[in-house]
Amino acid sequence: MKLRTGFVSNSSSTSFLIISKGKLTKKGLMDLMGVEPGSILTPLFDQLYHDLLDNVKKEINLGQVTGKPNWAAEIGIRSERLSDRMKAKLESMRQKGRTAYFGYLNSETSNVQTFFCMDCFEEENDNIYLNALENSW
Amino acid sequence: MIILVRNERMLREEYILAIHRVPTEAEFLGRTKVRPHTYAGRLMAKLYTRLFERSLELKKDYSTYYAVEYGTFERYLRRRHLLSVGEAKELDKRFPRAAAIVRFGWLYTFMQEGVGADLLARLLELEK
Repeated sequence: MKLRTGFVSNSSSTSFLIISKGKLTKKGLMDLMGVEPGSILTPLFDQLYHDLLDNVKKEINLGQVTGKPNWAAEIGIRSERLSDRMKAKLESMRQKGRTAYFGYLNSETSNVQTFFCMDCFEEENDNIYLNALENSW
Repeated sequence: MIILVRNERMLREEYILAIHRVPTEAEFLGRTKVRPHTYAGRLMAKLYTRLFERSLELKKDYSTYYAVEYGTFERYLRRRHLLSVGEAKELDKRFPRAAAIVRFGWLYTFMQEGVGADLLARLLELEK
């Protein structure tokens, strides 16, 4: 029998919604996060890029969504998990023909994913919007 | 020089760094090659704060509060910080030249398991 004497923490996941002009690229993500070529943090965000792509559960070409969409159903999540602000964001990005990615990261996979699962953040530039505010740590 | 210390009371890894010259925040951020006011920029600014504003500077701590009690820096490291004989001797050798000897902890998870030591060695001018 093993006895653990320290505190015990549950695992965590962080949902993400990315809206991108065209396909999400590594260069685009690096630019959004402020990582210059040759940065000491390149490996960290390189891993984040791959983790995000590997954990996409739904990819939607917003420009091809017609009528009055139920955005939660389009993404495949419960309606209460999508705020009015996010619905408005998806609607405005639909008019620009952007691509949306929805998925989640898991803290039990790597130190990199654990780090991002412990953070809540929202970043945006002209090409990419990244929402990782929903965090159940 | 970097020493990795396991803080059993706080259940976390801590580092002790002997630094040849303490960089300004602007110099430090310049070396990281991240843009200010971005996610990565804020992350590295927090790391600088953790290193130089929310850490314990051992040279200063010893000289200000413990020089009379312990007599030597090596004894202070052994008795107050519970370092091994070898670690205390190595740090003691660097005491005269180092601009700062910093102890800090609670690093980001992506800096655990040796990654942080490598990253800090590339960002700081450490005493060899």
